[in-house]
Amino acid sequence: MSRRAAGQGPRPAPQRLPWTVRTLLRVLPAERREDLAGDFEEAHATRRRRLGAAGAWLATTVDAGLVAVAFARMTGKGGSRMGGMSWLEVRLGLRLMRRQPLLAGTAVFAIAVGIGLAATGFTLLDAATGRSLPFEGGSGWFQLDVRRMPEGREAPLDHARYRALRERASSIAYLGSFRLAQPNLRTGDDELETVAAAYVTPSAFARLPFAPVVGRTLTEADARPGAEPVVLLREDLWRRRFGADPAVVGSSIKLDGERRTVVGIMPWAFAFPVQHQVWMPLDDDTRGGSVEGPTAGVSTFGVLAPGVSFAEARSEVRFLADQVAPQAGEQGSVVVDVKPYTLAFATNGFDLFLTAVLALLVLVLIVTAANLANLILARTYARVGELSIRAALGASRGRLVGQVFVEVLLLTLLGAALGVLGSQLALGWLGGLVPDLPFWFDLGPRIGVLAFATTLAFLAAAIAGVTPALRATRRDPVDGLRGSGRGGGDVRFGRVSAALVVFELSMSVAFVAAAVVLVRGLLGYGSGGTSLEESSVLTARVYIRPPMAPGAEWAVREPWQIDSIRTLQESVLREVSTLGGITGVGATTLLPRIEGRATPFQVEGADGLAVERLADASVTEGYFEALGVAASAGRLFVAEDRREGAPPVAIVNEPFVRRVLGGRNAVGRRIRRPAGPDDEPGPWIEIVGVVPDLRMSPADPARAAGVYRPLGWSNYFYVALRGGADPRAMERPLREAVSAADPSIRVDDVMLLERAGWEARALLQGLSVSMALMGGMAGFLSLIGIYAILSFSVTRRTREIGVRMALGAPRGAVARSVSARAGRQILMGTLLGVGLAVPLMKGTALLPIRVPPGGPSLLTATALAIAAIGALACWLPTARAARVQPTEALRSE
Amino acid sequence: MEGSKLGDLELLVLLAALRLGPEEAYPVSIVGEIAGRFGRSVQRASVYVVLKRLEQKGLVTTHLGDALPERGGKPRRLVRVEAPGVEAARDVRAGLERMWSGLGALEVDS
Repeated sequence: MSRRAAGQGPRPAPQRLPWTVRTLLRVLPAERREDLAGDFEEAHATRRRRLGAAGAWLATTVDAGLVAVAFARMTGKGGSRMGGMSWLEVRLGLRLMRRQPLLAGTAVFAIAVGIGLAATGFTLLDAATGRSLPFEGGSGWFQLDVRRMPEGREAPLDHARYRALRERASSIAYLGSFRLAQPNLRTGDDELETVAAAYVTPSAFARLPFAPVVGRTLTEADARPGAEPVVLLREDLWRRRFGADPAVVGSSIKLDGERRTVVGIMPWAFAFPVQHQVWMPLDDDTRGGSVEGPTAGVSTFGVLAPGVSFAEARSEVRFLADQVAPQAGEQGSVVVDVKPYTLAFATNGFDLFLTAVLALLVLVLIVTAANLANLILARTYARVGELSIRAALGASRGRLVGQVFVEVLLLTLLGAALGVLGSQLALGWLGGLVPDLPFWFDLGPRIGVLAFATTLAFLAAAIAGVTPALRATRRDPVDGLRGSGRGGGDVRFGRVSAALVVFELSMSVAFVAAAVVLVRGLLGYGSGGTSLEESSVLTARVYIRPPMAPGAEWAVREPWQIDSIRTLQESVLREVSTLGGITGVGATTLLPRIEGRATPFQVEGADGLAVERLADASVTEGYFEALGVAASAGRLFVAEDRREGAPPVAIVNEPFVRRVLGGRNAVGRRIRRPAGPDDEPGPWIEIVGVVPDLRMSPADPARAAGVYRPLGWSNYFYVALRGGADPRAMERPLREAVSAADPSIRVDDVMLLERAGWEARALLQGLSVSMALMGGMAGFLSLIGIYAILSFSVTRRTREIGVRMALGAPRGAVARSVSARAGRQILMGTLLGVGLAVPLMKGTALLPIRVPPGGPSLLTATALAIAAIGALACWLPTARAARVQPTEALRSE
Repeated sequence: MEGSKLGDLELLVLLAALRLGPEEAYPVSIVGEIAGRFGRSVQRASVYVVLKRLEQKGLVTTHLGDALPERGGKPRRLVRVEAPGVEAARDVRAGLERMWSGLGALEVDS
């Protein structure tokens, strides 16, 4: 289906059949697929015009389903047989689903969740670790991973090695470079917009199987020094900003203030290198830098020669790279690796992490299936009589096992269908959250996932259906008829099912406890603190691209870099502060509700020099005023505080005064950075003022204590503007003002202050929900497990219980003998769960937003609640056992 | 007696295929023809089944036409009514007319 990309609507033509129809086509006779597909295409196109996309999707899917059934009947001679299995089995299975809707519903739900989770994991893993780009020859694309030893830092490939590989590597068919950028696009007097752009060596376009919609692609001549600056745009950008006007080709636009001529429009589906929509030429000789070296951030990519493996290319590339003499100023050695194109973007261990997640999800599925096996085993044993009668009437064992298998398979297939559907919905939602997924990430349905889900459905049916059926039909039919009500002593729910119940209970305790911690954090989120007039403050994030020397690593260390950033930063602040219609403006490295890293500080207090970890932000004069905050003691910052050589000062917040100073006066006290292992302590900083709590830690009041210092230099900061009835109207003037300081400075995340920190909040919400879901699911499964086992055991022991009751055993003793084992499982599961919950609850500290940690009381309460629910699951069958009458026991004989 | 050789839908499909001619008769157009002329909406799935049956009876033959862009580059399966098919349709008509004859009150103007 259509590939997702930032801000693009559904793609118009070419028309493609829904994936459901494409899948169904595969079950049709091979010799008829072509013309049937044509019929579907034609009917689908008509339906799209009449019914719209969704209606057509549904109608054509139903249509294809009917055609598939019709052909199955035609080839199966009236449909009496289905793969050697009679329709009778299917009908029997359907009848059982109707007769035991609760059991069927539970089974379908459990399988749907299990397969849904596994299919989601599979799709994500497949998308993230797919080694091929989605076009012909895409599997030979690679990127070079260049590391400077001994630190192992990533570095651009130097000119000498780049040339050597281009000229001499026989394993490489093509080698090119790209650099990613996010320039500001301006068209006429239209709005400013930051776009995802890439500088690409023009020869790459010949390797990529995409033709421009209008105009041409880039050529070598475009990249030569002194050539007219040109640019390619992607179709979606062209449609959105230029109304798909073909005359745009040949006209000029401004990128970061530089005028460039549009020479072509690339199709929607083209997003190379990752998810980009604007392309500019990159010169192969300097690669954006100079003759000394390429600019920082340049990546080298290429295509392997036909038939060459990655291992062969790797050894040749290493050999050639080592032969090149060390470059001037180069320290240490350089190690070059050849990585599949798609994997070069994955951070180390990302695919490993996903594999682990998938393994966990499959484990969940297996546990689900095993649990289902318990349920079905119990039910199958209750039907030994029926099976025995069929056996006595001549049904073979294979036929009987087949019957149970088909019954279960119906359930698991239905569950699998629901699971895949749910997984697609979840992935669609996920893809919407992350609109800029790399172009090779396809989260759409794929035949592999359907095959995977179907295999899992069969696997689950085999575990849950065949095993119990084999065991139930092992006996002689006469035995079965005789002992149908009594059940056999040979049936034992072994250690496996007991272990399952314990495992699930413990997972339930752990996840629910973690969910409670997160939900508590969520409930306390942003509450308390100062009431700011947040809807009258507009905030935006400003990013200054640090200047880099050619050939250098991506780092800001040199004084000239810092000077350049400081100059740009100050001119942004100057331009913004001259905007009309505002009553206050300031800048900060951290807005309220955005969690920063805690920094250790030595505080000069009454009890010697205490070291405290404190939230830490840098702000300009005017920042607090822009937020409408007044000093509750001392003063706020003034311009003088930010001058070089000014005495170091700080402002602390009220939580600092309360927690660190116990409410004592803060103004005049001093703090400093403590001495590290290799360096001296920082200079003393005098506290000059106190401000209210501005939620430096949005969800954990215990971490709210913090320090504000005057902003020195930062290439990354937020500006806050206050003014006007509608601060949102200031967005455009703000962007213009920043652009006036320098057109290459990026402005994003423009929003009212009340929205600040929403990502962290959304993450917290998502995590709370998924933890609660997983905990709930594990709990639900364990309860079903306990219930099924006990319920079956009571049925099986009816005679024994009846005899014991007849001999005068008290009800309490009977109940205890029935539920003792389940009780032990609940106890063990809960204790194990507490053990698992401790590290999981500690793990919440790794989140970008901190929540108050859960204490022992919270954990105890969770464990007790789940144990109580477990006890409830025991109670129903136990109560039934206690009600057994001796006469009933005799009847069951 | 000959009337029983063809089912209701078989007759409709056969007539639709005859009307459309060997160059234009294929499942999608047959469904359209029956809907437009006879006023009955027929599932295409049923048409495939009926065509298969007619083919087995030797009344029609089918073959693949050219690939067409409006069908996503896929060909049509064109239907040609063979002589026994024409004969069968004629028999049904004769049989029906014998049944109608004399039932003056049910005559319709054509």
